[in-house]
Amino acid sequence: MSLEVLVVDDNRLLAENLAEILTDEGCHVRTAFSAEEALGAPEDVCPDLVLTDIRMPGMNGVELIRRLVVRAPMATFLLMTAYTSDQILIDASHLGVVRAVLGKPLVVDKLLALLPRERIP
Amino acid sequence: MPSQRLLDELMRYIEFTPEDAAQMYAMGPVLRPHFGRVVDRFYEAIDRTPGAAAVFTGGAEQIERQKTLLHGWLEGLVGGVYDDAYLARRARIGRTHVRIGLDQRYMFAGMNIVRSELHAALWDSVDWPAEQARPGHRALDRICDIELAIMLETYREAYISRVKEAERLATIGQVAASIGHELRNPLAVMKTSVHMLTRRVPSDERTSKHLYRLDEQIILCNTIISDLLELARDRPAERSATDIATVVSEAALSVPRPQAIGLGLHIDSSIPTVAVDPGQFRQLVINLVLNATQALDGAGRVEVRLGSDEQSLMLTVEDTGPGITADVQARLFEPLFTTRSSGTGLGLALCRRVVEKHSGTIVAKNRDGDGGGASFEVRLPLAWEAQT
Repeated sequence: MSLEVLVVDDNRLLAENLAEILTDEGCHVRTAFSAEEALGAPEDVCPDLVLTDIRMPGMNGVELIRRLVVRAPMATFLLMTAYTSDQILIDASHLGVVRAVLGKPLVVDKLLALLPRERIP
Repeated sequence: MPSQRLLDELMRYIEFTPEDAAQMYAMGPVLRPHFGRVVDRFYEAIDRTPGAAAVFTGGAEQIERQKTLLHGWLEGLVGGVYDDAYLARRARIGRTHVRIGLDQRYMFAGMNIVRSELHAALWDSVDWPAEQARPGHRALDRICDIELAIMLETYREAYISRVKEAERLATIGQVAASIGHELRNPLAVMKTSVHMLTRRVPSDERTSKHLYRLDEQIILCNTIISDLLELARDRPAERSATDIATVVSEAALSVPRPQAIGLGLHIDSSIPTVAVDPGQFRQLVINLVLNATQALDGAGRVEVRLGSDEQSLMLTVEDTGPGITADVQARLFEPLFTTRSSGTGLGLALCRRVVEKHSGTIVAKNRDGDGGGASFEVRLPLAWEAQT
């Protein structure tokens, strides 16, 4: 079964591009353009991988992960940011569940190397 | 640059006349035997003044050099010729004090030592005619006042220009930092689009070439942004034990370069693990290699060497480009200085910043031998770990 991926970025074009790339990799991708939108999805949709921007209007990516981790405790969480030295990054590391922080512009191969091998049973 | 006008004005104000100049010259033989003592007194005073002594970080060797310079300076005092060239030589003192961070108050104290020692030498002299005592002392006072005024003026000029430079950089930095972050989003879109095109477009030589070019230019844009952000932020080095060899080779290879430019990596595998800021060090290597690549005008070689001796880690980046002219060499590491039509003037400034944050040195010179080209040599002390 394909990986369930959630991509969240207020930059729509980037979210769409990432969705396209991950779909090509065989993932099943859902995009959201804000943290609020991402949280609005039905609770039974449980992602294996969450790839989210940090700074977005409204709720930020770290807060989003804090909430999603309750729903999907086994998921892999990846952050993206244009700010490589952001105070929020420290909050992110305190969460203890973030697998990696990817700097923008993204090195796509690095992202692909971080995909979980298989779907969470 | 202080002008002759400054000197003329000072001389008029202090009433330093051609007779005074002649007096100074005539006193040379009487005062010269005492120069050694003046120099010693001068440095004894520095020695017992922690604030002044702290500036001399180069040890005994530096002090010896400074003593020789002070000797030369005293010779200039009794030179009898106080013209443009004299002013230009004297102007360096104020600027040097600003550069090394020696506070202005030490100028007064230092001049006072020189002045009183020389007065004493003149009083004690049996060779100096008694009727010349008054004009002699007067000339000495006047020239010392002029010396001090030149130092203060050039100190002020250098200090103001340093403060202005810092303010300018701070403003540029703030604007640049916000633009830089904003640009990374569209770059991320471009980067991912290029990735997709590269995978989808049937392979055809020209398409591949242009896709590669796009990708390369996106990386370049991001390097410029990273340099800007790092310069604007001016954060201290966060050192951690780093596998330098890997950082250097990965960073060097990540720099896009045309096919006709060869890259040679000469990395000593026995390099010890060194505590550096890995991010800053990576940026240092990227900028040096990028700078070398851009100096080549499309073809040539870049050689990256990494080695160490007992005290330091040595990183050298050489190219086979046109090399560095003397006037460029003097300004090479200044922020916003560039010789290229499309250069930002940030890369090498950042390199120097990173090296200084690691208590190291960076030197730019031309390569020895017939091949020509420039060579950038970075040395970082290995002993840092021992200090923590």
